[in-house]
Amino acid sequence: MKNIKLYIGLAFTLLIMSACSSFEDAKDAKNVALMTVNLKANITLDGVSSLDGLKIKLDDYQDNLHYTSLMKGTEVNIDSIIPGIYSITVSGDITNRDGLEYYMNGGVVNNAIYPGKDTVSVSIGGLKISPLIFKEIYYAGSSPNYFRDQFYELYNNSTKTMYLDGIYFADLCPTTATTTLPVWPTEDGNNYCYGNRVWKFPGDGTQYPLKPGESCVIAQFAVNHKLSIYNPKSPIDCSSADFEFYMGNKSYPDQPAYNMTHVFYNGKAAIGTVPQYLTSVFGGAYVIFQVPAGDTYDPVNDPNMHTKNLATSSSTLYAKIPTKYVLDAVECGPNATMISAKRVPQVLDAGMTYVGSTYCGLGISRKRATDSDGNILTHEDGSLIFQDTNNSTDDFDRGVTPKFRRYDTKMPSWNHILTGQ
Amino acid sequence: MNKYNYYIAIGIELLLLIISTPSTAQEMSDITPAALVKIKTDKMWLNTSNSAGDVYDEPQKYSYVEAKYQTYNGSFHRAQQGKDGNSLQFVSEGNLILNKTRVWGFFSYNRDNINGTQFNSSIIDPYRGMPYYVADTVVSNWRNQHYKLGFRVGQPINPNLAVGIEGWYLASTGAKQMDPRTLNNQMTLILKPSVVFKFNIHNHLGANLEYYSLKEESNMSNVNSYVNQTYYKMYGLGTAIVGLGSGRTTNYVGNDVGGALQYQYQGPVKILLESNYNYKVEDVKITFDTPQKDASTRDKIWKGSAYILKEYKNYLNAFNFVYTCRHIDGIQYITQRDNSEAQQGWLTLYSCVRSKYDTDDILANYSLMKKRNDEFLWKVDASVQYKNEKDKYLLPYSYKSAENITYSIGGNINFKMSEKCTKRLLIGTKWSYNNNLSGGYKYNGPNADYPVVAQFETNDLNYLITNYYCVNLSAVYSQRVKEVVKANVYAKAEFNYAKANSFGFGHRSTIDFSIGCNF
Repeated sequence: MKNIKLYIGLAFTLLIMSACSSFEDAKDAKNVALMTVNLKANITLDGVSSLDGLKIKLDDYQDNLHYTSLMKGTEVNIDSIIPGIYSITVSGDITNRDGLEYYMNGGVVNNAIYPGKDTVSVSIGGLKISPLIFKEIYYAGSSPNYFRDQFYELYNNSTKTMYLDGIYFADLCPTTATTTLPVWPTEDGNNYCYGNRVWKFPGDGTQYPLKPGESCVIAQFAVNHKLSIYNPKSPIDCSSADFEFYMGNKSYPDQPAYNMTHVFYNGKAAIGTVPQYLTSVFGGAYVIFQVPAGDTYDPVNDPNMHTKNLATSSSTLYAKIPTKYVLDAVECGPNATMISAKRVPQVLDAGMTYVGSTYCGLGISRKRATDSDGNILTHEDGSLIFQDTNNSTDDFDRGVTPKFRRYDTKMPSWNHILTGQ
Repeated sequence: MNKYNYYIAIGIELLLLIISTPSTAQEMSDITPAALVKIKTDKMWLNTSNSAGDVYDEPQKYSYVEAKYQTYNGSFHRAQQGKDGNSLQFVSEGNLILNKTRVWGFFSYNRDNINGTQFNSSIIDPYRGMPYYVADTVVSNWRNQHYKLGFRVGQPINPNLAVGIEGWYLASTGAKQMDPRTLNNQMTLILKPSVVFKFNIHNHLGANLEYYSLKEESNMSNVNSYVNQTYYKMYGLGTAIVGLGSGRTTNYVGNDVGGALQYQYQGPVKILLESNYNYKVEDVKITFDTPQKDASTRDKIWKGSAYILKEYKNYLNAFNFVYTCRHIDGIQYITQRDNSEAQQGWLTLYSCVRSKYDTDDILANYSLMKKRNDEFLWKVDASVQYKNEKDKYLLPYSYKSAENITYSIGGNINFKMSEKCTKRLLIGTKWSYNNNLSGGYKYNGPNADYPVVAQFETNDLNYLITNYYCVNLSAVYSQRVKEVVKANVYAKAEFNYAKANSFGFGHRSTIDFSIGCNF
């Protein structure tokens, strides 16, 4: 009986304590008010002392609140901001003391702004322009629940021929956007991103040239998915893809498209038992990267180039990918609100793109670059220039019906359709 | 509610009913349906939150059990109320006097089938004053069950002092039937200790405290895991964050403290004045393993009421006036997940009031009864209710308001069919008209194209500012079980028809059938 009284007393005490804590928290809440944000820019590019005219964007993707302003000097106050979690970017063209023009870019993602935390420091540097970019990605799958028609299209956005041989492709951890991010070794800093599975283009170094204006498609499974044996509701025929991620699944046999070379999965070079290379239909994060001449990259055998997620007890290993190797990165998620769950460093992709649903038969397509009058920009040889500001929220059209080589970009001459192999 | 609680509830109620049968209270003639109405009109303290005051109520005993079936349909409804539905209810209530102790008990069970609801996928009662829930556009059914178990005990300590306690245990389960679906469990525990001091035969002063704890768990999921659903996390007046997948787990935890003061005058006129104040804080947390504090409500309710009874030899006049003022602050939090090695879960960085919900409700009701022994021969009622709802989202500023006045007039005639077996036929009717005085909805937030703004909130406002009339007809036939047994069995049929005059709304019809027994 004594015990029962004790338990009852204890239960009531806990109940009252929890009630008091709730009341205390609620009591302090004041009416929301607009606030002023102080933005301080730190220039990391030599020869630039002023950032006048650069565009400042504050994006609260969850609440869909967006503000813009212009830099003046290196510090500016932005008024009338509603407290929230903001991604802040500063970008634009600038000319340095030597008369050279740079595209400047910098920012922070998921930065909480509220009374008492109203100062934001941003490092701004010159942006590395990538010659090879993701042009179109289709990850969502098609109705009712077909996912074998995923594909990734790469484009040579430069004026020089790129050789795909030895260029890597990886999808990053975590596979879907989540606010519960992995914990990586502290010593890695912001110098790496972390791949689930890593692939490499085959070739001896000059076997797969991609000329300016050409694009190359990597399909999960390079067949015509519209056929009745696959999924007539699929929006895409992948049989003209240049490469495919062949996993040795006899039910879905090897196709004429060239096979990507498997590099890494869970610390091993072996492809494993998974029947297909499926990335998240909610949207994954993808990178293409190139190891500079003279560097070696072996995430399987080099223990410094793989790691576990320290937030869990899981023994799964992830490939470390130096951010300085990355040519292009695109982060996709379920919808705009999940940009608050970014997993790719801001330096690689300041935003996130999405199609808003799964198995919807929709994809994302990079926008063509335009001048201030809205005219489409091209290189001297007439090849299209695609927009690449390292912010996939801005750089991609969302929810488009997927299409190979949109805007009539060219197929490389070695494509199996053209060679008849 | 698990089976164990259910059996306890049934057991207590049956026990109460059984022991209440040998009455020690004032012996009455049969408790016909009309007599029961009169008894409840007489019991002034029973309508307050002070159970100690029951000691000073008329010592009339009553008990009843009732089973009711209700069906409704028609397009004049709010989106979350369903196109049609039906409900099965079992209810029992009774009181008794044990020596000088007044005991009152109540038990009810409802099973509701609500068909064709929309824009609610996470909360059993979307109208309980909680603006933070999950909505979706899929038209779905809900299957809800509600259990209510209540008691009041009033005990005189000495001739001038009485103490009492009132307690309620409310449990509900609810399940949405289409993806994204949810399984909800809700529990509320209410305690109201009270005291009444009797100054003299005419004047009584009472006070009571109130505490209640509320908990509702909402576990959303998809049965068809291949089709991810679009859903909206609602933050008030249509402000929403869209989600994709199977929804979320939401944990509502609320605590309420309050109190009331009562003053009663008993003389040629009986007057009971009451003033209540309640302060509730309810937190909304997402997931259980690593909870994220998403929002809270700060809910203040002040209620003032006056109840006046004037009894003549053949007539009973009852006047009731109630003013309720409710103010809810919607608090939102800025949280961030700690993704460092410390893994502290979700950190709450900042909180502020983002929305406010104000309701003023004034009700005045007058009843006149022509008495006939312990029941009434006829009764007329007239009432007027003024309700003003003003909701606003502070930044970006949006508002929604509706101001209505409803007039009602009704009456009942208690026909004496036969003295043998006390056969009665109680016929009633009521006519109401709702006149909208003002109202509007202006949404200035982001995503104005979301269906929760363009369809849900817009149509909800239309419902709230619609003029409509309502007609109610009822008939209750009752008689003794046997000539020598006082228990009155009855069968009741009731029809309610509401017809809207604007915004393309049609009508809403409700039909009830009940059988029961008063004893």
